[in-house]
Amino acid sequence: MAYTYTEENEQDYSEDYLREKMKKWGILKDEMTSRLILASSSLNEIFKELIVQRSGRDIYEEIDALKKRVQYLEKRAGGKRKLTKADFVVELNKKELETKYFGKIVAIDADSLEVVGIGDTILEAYNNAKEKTGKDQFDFRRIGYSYVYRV
Amino acid sequence: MSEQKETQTTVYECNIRFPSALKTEERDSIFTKFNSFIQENREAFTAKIKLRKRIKQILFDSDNFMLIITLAKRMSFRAVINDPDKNKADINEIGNKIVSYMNTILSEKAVGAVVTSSITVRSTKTYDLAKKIVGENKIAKIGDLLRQTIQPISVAFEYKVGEKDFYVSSLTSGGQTLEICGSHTVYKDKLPFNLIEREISELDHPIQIVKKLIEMEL
Repeated sequence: MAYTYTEENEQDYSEDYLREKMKKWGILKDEMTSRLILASSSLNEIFKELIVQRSGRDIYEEIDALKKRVQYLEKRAGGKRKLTKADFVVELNKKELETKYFGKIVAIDADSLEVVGIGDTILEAYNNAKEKTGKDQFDFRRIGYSYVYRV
Repeated sequence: MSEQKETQTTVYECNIRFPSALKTEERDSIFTKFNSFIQENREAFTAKIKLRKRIKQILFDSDNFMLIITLAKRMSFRAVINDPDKNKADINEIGNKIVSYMNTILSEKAVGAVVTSSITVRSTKTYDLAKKIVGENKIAKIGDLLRQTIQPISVAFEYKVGEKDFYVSSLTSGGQTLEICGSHTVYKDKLPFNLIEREISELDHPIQIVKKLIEMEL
């Protein structure tokens, strides 16, 4: 029997092909009866969906969605966040910063890669840094902790 | 004028959907395994076979049936057969080979497959089953309420026998009748041998119900 193997990036046209085949068999016919077919096939699909929903096939979808959610939350909580320039600056000066300012919030200028402000709150560190550099955008890190504020 | 000949066409469709999601590498591996399996047994398949690597699809195409296996996120199997009474032996033979191979390669992932089967009969006979079930009086009342002349064209109902859900629908319009009888089953174990033949024979239950309804005085 004929065997074809293709690696081409073709579309899935099996649905159209099947439709043509069904026309040939006589189950799908001309335009005149398309209303009949449409109404009936919709009914068929609705039945399938209703029964399927009740029998719990959607549970699989739910499990998939939950798995994705868990992966996302794990990623968020597990410190798998992509490192930024500010993390690099803190990591580079970790020893010195932890000795001098443990628990304090530092403002980091991502352009100059320097610690430009220190304070007990973000606002304090921000004012400090703004005064020093004249800029108004900084990254903030709490020294010795993986978060700035925790709720 | 010669009377128009009564015609009847019957098509059976079987869909199998496996519950477990497949990873990309699993899909690749299953597709490769399927390819080797088909190449080894090429002579045993009485259909043209098309394998599409990019979309991971295997198509068995014959004059009277079509079988499509798609390896998407979940593996699916779809078989459509013209005149199932006449052609079910052919498709069942191919179906058995494929289903048992799917059971083997999917192993535990083949458990819990959802199988939906349906038989669609299109005929030029008009039964007006909807009209018969709803009743002339009720139609007249609804017509009065809506201030329209209404024609009920379809009736549908469902029921359950054991673990199997059945549905029956009949639609009459334009001098034609479409009857669709279907079933839905979740196989708690792996898929059984002779699945297609078994599914077709089990659809006899709703088909007989339609026949009885047509004959019955309601």
